[in-house]
Amino acid sequence: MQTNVVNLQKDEIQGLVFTGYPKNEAGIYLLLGVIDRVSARAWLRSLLNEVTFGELREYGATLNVALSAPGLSALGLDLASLATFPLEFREGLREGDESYRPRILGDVGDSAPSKWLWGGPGKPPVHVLLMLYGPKNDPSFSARVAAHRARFAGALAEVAAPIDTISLPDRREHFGFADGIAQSRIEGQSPRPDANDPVKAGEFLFGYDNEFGKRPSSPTVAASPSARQHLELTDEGDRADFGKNGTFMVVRQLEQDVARFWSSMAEYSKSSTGAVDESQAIWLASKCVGRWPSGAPLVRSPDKDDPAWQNDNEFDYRDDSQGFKCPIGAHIRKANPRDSLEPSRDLSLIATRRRRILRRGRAYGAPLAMFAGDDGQKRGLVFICLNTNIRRQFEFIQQSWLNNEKFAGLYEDQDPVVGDQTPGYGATFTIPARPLRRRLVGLERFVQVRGGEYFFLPSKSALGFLSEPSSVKATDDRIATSARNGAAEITA
Amino acid sequence: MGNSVQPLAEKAKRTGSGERPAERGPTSAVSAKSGRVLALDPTLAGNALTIVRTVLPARKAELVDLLTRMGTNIDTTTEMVFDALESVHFMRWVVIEGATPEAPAQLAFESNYDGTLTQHLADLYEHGARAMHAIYRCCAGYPFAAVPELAQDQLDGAQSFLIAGKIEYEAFYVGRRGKTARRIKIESRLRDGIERYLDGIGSDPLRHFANDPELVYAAIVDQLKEKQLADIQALSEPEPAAPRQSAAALVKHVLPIVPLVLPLLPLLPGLLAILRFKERTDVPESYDVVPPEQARLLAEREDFQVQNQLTHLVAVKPGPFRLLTARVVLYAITTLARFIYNQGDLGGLSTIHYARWVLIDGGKRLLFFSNYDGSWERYLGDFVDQAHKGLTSVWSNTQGFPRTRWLLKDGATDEENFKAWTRAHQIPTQLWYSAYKHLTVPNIGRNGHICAGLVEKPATREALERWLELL
Repeated sequence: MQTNVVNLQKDEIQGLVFTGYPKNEAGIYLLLGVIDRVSARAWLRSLLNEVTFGELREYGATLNVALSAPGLSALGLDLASLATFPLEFREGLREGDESYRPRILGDVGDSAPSKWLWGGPGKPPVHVLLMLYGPKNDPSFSARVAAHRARFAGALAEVAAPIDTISLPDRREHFGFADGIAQSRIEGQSPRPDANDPVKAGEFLFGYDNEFGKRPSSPTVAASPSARQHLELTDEGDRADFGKNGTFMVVRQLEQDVARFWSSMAEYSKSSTGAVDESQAIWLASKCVGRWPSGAPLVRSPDKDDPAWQNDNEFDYRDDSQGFKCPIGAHIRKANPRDSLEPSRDLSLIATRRRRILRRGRAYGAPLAMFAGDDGQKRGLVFICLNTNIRRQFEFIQQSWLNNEKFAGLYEDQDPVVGDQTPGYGATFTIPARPLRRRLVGLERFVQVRGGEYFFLPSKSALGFLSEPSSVKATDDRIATSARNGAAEITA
Repeated sequence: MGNSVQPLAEKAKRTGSGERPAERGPTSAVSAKSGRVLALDPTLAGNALTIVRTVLPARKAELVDLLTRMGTNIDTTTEMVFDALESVHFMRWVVIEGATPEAPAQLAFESNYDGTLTQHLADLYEHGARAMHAIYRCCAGYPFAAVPELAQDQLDGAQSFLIAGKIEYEAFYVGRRGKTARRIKIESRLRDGIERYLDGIGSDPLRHFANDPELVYAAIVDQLKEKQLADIQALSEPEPAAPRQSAAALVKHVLPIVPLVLPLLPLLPGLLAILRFKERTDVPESYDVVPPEQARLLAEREDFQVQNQLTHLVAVKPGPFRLLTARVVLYAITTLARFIYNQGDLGGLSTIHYARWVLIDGGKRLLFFSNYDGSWERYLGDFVDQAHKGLTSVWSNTQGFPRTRWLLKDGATDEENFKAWTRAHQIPTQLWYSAYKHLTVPNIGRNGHICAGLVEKPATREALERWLELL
């Protein structure tokens, strides 16, 4: 709990790190592949002035750009430099279904990578993710997108359909629950430290101390003249720090089966006469989430929704160790256990601070009312999170908390909302109650993965270095055009 | 959860007559003829056995193939019927490369078992004589390498060969004392039976019983007596007594080491100076030390169920100082594990079922075996968060460990380097078996409490309600 303020080099840091641009309700994600290295670099160079950097409170149209490992390679980053990136980033989400990453993330069954719309094995790799944000109902938004398409034509091409994002009213997500209430504050983000303990910047940005009091190992490049021009040298002086002020960005398109979620809850709510009880179904769904639809946490208001608490993020689980208010397996409790892990509150807070992510995702697809029948439309969340250690942060939350049926002493409760519901190992949800628990069994999978990739969100200097025409090496002239080749090159 | 467990109950009833379940196929000469009930000494649970034998270089590849094939087909392999084993909690075979390129490989066997050593070995040969023979034929000095199958009168000789390779542990930790594997499985079945019964009633079973906890309890007991009578009856069997943790026992445990340590006490300042000098001049390995191929190889064999295993091998730093320090620290850890951390909690960690350290090659290399819950990332992460001092005090005496001060400080707190170092020295385990792979240490403890409430009905209304909250 240090009070000395960290100085973030905010002008170097892409704006998405500080905010998800809530005032810009329109958005689009373009999934691009490099066609020609030289023109792609030139395009990136021309884009630099429009990329949004810094901590902004007021903003108009915004733009951010991220690159995958095959993308960095396609732009000319040499193999030795790519090897300084962690293995999970280099492997990305492009491995085959039988590989270990889909297993640990729960990308199985209909969510297996081979079935994805984009990003999986056998699909062309996404090299660049271009994120455009604009004010709601701005008539010039589509013209702006068209202008960008014209600009990158010939240099890059869209390798998959773009994703139009929306902002649902009352900051809800598609199941109908207010989302994004719990957000970590980064140390150094506000001008002065505030009451809500900020998380060390190094958890989300390279170049700063993390929760272990150390600088996370940052990816580096050879200290060529071009590198020296843009980047700082490492302490040893033989390499240049490429990662500083950058971070990793996990992107996963999560398709939500809203109709099925609510029909399931309605089914579970049925009384002995067989009649659906909608308020009971909402109660059950809230037990699954850990908050009421308004956002009020169950630990504050266990029995009914109380919108007075809808923005509350100050709560903890000290009065609810057995989960009578908020079930142990509920989504928000699994995603962020706060002070509730064994063996003690203090140790739990230390451990959970070391496993936070910054969520910057957006919804897509038209909304569907609660209890309405399936309309055949696709909808969901493009889940985006930022962290410097994908294994310890994002993958850990996914594997050891959300999809872990043995979380916190449980037996077979995976996350009821987003869990993969492996038959036999999960698919149940326990609602602690006195004197006897209630239990939902045979839970279906409501969220399927339809695409994903691990990206790097570079700093201004790193983007400057990448777009330098002179940093293309003659020997690395191959362009990774197929996923297979790309993966083999990068992970060698 | 129940697949590998249910048939065991059936087989346990039938092995009395020496019959083998038909679908398993022909068995070796030894086990078919033995036909005896394997009665384990009920007072002994959760003991450690480590056997290390040298591998014949010409047969190393064959051995690795055999173990890997069996290990990736644990449920169906016929050379050893793992699910029929009665004495085993966990076991593994791992082929260890020689310390130098010229040195032959070694085969390590690690098991955690119930009953006496003789009973445990008999259990292994009862259900896996073909495997035991095929494996140890690849080792130097095995007296029966020439025969295709072991005969009944060769059994003792084969077991003597194994016992000759037995080595004692330097440190041993048990997550759940006093529970045999059989009991753990029975208690798990009973808990599953209760939950399935209640689930069958509905998502809100209390309403079915007019909100009366007494009725719930009575109905559960009736149901279990009807569907799982053998398991209920087994609950009355005697359990191993908890090992004596009196002060007298502690003194008895520590006494042998006193004559070794006492003469060193006056030298302590000098010893500490040597320690600090060594710590300043030791060279830690750098972060990017894990080859991607090795990282993938290890990850491919993990996370198929909640439990995982870890086999870790690292050279001890040269010199008598480091070796002695390591041995003293390991002895201290064993003492702590036996007398203080003996309630399923190791300094806050409740994820370890069984773990041990052994020294091989005359003290030159330190081997660590662990059977734990959850992912590798979570396991190591917990150590960094809560129990780094213990690991640092042991492993700072081995090659390449992150920089340490005063034996306990820094070291494993350096999260990135510590995890990279650990992964770099982790070796693939060809065969690993767990008798209850879907149970965590907390699950086992809770099942024990649930079954205690079945053996003896909770006395008060309050106690009954608390018992119901366990479900």
